[in-house]
Amino acid sequence: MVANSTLAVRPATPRMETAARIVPPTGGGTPAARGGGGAALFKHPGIQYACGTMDASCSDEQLMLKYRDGDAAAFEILYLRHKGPLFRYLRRQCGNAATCEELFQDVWMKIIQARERYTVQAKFTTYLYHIAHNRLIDFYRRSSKGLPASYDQEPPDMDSLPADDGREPERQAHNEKTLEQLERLVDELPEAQREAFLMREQAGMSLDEIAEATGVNRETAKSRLRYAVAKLRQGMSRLS
Amino acid sequence: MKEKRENRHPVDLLPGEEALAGFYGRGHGEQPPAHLDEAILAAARREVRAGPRGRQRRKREWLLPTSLAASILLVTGVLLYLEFQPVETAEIVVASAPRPAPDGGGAQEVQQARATPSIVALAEAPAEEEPAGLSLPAKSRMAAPELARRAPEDADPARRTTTPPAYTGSPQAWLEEIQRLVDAGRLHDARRELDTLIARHPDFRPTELRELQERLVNVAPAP
Repeated sequence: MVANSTLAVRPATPRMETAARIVPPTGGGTPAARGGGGAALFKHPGIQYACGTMDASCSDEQLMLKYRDGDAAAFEILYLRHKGPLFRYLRRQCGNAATCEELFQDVWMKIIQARERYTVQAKFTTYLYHIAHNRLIDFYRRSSKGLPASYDQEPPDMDSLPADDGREPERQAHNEKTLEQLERLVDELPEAQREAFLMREQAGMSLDEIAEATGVNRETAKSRLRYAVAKLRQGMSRLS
Repeated sequence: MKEKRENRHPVDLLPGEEALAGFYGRGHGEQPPAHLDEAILAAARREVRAGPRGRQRRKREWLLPTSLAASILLVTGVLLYLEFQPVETAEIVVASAPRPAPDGGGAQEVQQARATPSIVALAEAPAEEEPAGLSLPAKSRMAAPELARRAPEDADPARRTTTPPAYTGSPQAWLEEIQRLVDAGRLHDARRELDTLIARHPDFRPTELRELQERLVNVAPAP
């Protein structure tokens, strides 16, 4: 995609609202040589910590470092990238629109208020969803229902699911009704499994990132996601 | 599409997930309301503008404890200084100061010494004029500011002869000192001291005091 660039750009995620398209950087040399706020921090291999110009070639971490150093425009790009997936994740997880908006604002306010202390310890997406997950857990605990059992339990045995008929949901006619049915199926997933699925599909997070954001090990994250995928596929097959 | 998905999850794409995700992605464009966008972005800009203030706020958090620590240190230092410094000065001065002769023959020397408006004059004064109860060490322990404050008025010979410093020792020693003033012929000073003694210790009424009172009844107190 940007093979001629010396700056490794984070792969685009299909459902992230990028404010601008990925463009090759205008300058040459290494990211550190091109300068930028927080350029000295090279902690995570594979994450770029500096970008020379304020464009979409900046990784999330670069933008957050720029924001930490006082660049409000960097935050706007970051926000535009992540606001949709995060909002939909919270919307599906808490159900209530007003609560979702409150949680959504809380998460971003935490990011804003912590900006001066920000250092790159993980991918920004992981950092963002870790905050969102914790905020969501607080919300569950404060609610009358308490923390959903799916967070404390192992995912149900995969064998308990009815056999998949092998039909691909992708090949079904995509109409509004089918989408509604899928949304309903997602809503019916246990919270922990649904969370893993949404982090994966909305935020494009890897299993390791999901595990880190939700505070579980990789195997647990994988089990939750596998269960969610299997359940949805089975549901969609049945509906078709 | 497949290439994109594999870019996202090169290692851990689950079986069947790709098709489901491709399906799920369509039409799921729910966005936060515009007022939330505005509120969050405005807060972000505010935070940037308040950035230095935030740092100042953190500095201010340190200001109080630091100020307190510095104040305590300063006060401790001053107290220690006042505790030790005047003692050394006064003792050295006293050691080198001329002592009056027991018979009063050294009055001239004393007068010369008094004329010098300094701590030296003050340090030697107790041996000359002050009541016996006020010992040199007690006087020399006086704080330096107090010494400095008293030095000018004590250095004035005329004033010193008429207005000796108020006596702070025991009533009995004070009475004895008044008796000495009477013996030395300083009746006006004796009368004033007697009046002061009676005013401060109304219950202290020994025979000697009453005798002195009768003797000085017609003497006007020194101003």
